[in-house]
Amino acid sequence: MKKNKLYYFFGILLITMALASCTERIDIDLDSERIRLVVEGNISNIHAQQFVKLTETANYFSNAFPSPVSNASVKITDAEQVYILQESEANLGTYLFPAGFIGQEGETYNLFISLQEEVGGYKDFSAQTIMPHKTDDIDSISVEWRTRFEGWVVRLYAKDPPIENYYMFNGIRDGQWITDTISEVNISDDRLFNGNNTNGAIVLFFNENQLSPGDEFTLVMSNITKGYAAFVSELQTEIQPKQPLFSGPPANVSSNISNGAAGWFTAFPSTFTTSIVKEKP
Amino acid sequence: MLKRLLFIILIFTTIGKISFSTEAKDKFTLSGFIKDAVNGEVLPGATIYIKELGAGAASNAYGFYSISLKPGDYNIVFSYVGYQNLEIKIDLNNEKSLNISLQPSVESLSEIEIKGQAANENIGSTQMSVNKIDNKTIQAIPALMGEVDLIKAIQLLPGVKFAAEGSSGFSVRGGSPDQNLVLLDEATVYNAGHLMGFFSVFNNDAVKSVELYKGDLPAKYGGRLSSMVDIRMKDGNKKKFQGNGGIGLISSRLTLEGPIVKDKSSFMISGRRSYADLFLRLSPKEELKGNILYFYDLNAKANYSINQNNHIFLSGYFGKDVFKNSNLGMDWGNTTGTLRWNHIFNEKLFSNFTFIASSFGYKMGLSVEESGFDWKSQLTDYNLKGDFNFYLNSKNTINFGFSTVFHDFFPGEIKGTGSSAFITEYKLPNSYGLENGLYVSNTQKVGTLISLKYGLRISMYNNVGPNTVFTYDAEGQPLDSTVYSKGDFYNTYFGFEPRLGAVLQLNESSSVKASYSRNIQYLQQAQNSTAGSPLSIWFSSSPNVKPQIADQFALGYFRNFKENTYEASVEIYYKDIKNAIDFRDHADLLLNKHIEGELLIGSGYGYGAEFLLRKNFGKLTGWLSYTFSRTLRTIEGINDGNDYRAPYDRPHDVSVVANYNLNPQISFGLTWVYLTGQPITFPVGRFVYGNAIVPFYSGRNDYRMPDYHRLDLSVTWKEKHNPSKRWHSEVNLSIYNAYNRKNPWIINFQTDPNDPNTTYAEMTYLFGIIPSVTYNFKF
Repeated sequence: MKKNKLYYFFGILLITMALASCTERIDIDLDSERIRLVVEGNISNIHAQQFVKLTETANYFSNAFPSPVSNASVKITDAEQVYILQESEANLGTYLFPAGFIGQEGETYNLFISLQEEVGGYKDFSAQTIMPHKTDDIDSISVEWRTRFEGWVVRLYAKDPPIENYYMFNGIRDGQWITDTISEVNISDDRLFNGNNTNGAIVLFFNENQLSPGDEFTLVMSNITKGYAAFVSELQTEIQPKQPLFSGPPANVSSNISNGAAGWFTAFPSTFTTSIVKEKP
Repeated sequence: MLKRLLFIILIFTTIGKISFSTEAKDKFTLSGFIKDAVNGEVLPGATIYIKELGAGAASNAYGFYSISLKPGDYNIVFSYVGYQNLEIKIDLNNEKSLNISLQPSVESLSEIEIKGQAANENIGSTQMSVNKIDNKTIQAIPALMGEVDLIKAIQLLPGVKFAAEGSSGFSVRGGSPDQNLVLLDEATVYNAGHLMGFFSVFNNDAVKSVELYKGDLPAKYGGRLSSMVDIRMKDGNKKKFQGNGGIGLISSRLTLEGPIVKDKSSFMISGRRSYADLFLRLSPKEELKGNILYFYDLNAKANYSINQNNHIFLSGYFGKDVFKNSNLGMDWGNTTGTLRWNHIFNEKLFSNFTFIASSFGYKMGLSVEESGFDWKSQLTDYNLKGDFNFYLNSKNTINFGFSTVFHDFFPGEIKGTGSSAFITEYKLPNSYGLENGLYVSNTQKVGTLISLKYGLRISMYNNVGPNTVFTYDAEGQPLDSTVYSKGDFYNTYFGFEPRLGAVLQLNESSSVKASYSRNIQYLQQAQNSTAGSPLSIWFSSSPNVKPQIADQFALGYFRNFKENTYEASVEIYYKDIKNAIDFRDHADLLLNKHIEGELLIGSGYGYGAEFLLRKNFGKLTGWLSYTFSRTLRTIEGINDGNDYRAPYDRPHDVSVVANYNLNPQISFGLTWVYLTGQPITFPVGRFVYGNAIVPFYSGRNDYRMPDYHRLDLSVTWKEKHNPSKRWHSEVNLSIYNAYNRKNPWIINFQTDPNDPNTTYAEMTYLFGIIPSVTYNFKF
């Protein structure tokens, strides 16, 4: 149970306030900040989930696609080997792993980036991550319509191991990822069911248009590091609208990349469980 | 500890007797209570002025006064704001006990009758940085949705700012809301807000007086850095049975009071309940109809005068907010109980013993069909106090006493409910603390022009087991833990808190004052939001959390004009804070066992100048105040360790409060406030991660929201006074935010749903123009 979810319930309480409050767009003058490198790097046990993406930060109201950072030298190392990543010709700034490479549980990986030109005052950047072990004691999942929420919920029946775990949940509908922005994935720790059966805890929520009865739905459960869980949850907090009663002051999301670059380099194993979306009651 | 206290008390009581017997021959003591002639309520802070000596004294919090004089004939004037002066000729040739009853001034005559002959108490008193407001003044201020609210009145005083629009949290001289000690009949009120803070828990009908001390606390009080708000409930009419009440848009109120035994014992009971949920039922939106949302307050008080020397008071407050819909149920509230015994040992020694129990808690339950959870949190205090006023002679008044509080913190527990609960029980362990204070202070007159106040408070905090205490690394991750068993005093802090003040009276109507005070705070709120929510918890000093310390220096010039009709003052202050607490970025403060790992400790400072012009009498009354102030913090780990603006750093602050009595039937009220915009952190850059636009922020609080200003108006129409009729009524019409200023409550930066590359700024404002009507009655 993350605090974001609790705030969702308080959202109900705030409806009453919403009766009185109004919103409107305003113009604000903002200073510009120096440009920095942004790294999005994932290693997984599924080849399709692996890539390193390099872009630049921009002024807040720049309102354009982020500029990709091309022609960089990108390497990954584990205890034994060095892997060179090749920039994709179709997606500039995205660097792909050599064929056949997949992440191994328990392995420590290092990322080294060397740019042609300085971004944010540096040419060289590095990061390190470990790939957690998989929790795959999953009994089943169930995708049901909830009238009260007017949406689809994905329930998980699994056994949580007694150690501290962090999970990331994604959803696939008929082969298409429907949690395609990071704001839609769900991050959870096991504080409230550590070492127990999850008993059908709700792990994902979709609105009426995102699923229909009879769809083949796949839950992607990934074991992530504590650091990445914190990063995604901070990021989700900063993307959501602030609310003076519950939100703390705005703060930059953390980063595990050196030399002032933003973003995160992470590794996670994923488990896939499929079920058919149930009829509405 | 207790033995030592008893010993000290014994010494003082003995001194009282000795000095009484040695002085008996050349000086006599005049003492007694000052009361309201109509309802028998005692009048705290009433003044006693001896014409022959050009000197005087004031009654204490229970209306008791004592003054030692050489034998002789004296003309003594007793006075109190809003009451007719009473001049009595006394031939003092033995110890004399004299109870005084003052007549309230009839309003229409107030211009002529009230000449503040001795009403210049603000000039001569050693106490500075204090503001008093009575219940009538609060009543006359236009209120949000017609709910008269003393906290909103306090927010209009110089040096005081609201924490957020409409919030019952407030900042005094730049401090945070948890640095205010809010006392209701001496019981700590931990959360003063109803309905997410938009209304305070204090029902004005039950309140007699409110005093705000800004940092320079009397030695009797401690435990908070910024201020103390002393709210006293009405005792209840001792002469006759009466009632009053009102019907408003948000709530209705009813207060009953009267004698139990005439002139000996009386009671007061006052209730208020809101009915906002009735409006929700009328809402066209289906999801709002099933909601229940209300709050209630119940204040009750009874007192009994056993004899002239022994008085007992019992008072209580019970308040709750309840919110329920089909999935979620939640309630939170305060409960306080105070039992007081005033005992007069002799003409010179007045004492008060108090036992207080106070608690704040919340409960939340969620049930979504077959699974849900229950969540609870509570803080309970038990407090025993003894306070003594020793009127040594006409030049010295010594106050001393002790206070001991046992705190029981139950920070939170969550339990799964229902047949397929997925939450197993998760409980944060209780922790316990003992907070002790011992103080002595003297108010001394040196010659006729100078008065001094010097006191010392010694405070001590013990953490008491059982508990498990963790140590943390620089990132706040737990390293190691130590288990303490039940009854272990495993950690102790103590500190000296000097409270010094001096006044130099330049003439009858002007004075210069200076003060220095140190306050130590052992308890604070885990609250990261600006507006304050009921879900916050309080946590205490511990091996990981040092007590916060504030030193305040203040200097002021006070001047009254036109026979005390106008009061003017200028005060400047400087405040230094050690061990200031803030929270790490993205701190997790709810249900977190390692909350101490989320803290960052640093320092802070603030300074300011406060200007006040107040008119107390006449057709037009009210005040005009301007405050310039700054408040900054330096905390390693926030803003790269550089100084940053505290959330309440709002340099310019203007308040205008006016009440105009056109005639005995019709009066108008006006308030206007202006505040520099709230400091805020804005995004200065952005990046894309996982297909979402993520903001990149400026330094902490580098920007400001647009300036805040608002005008409120009201008109009150009273029924013509008819002495043969018992029922009196009035209608109050008020307009909140009369020129419909859109003051931003929050500014959010969002991604356009139709164009994922575009971001924009959007402001939310809470209250546009809000008219309301209230009907009040008295019988």
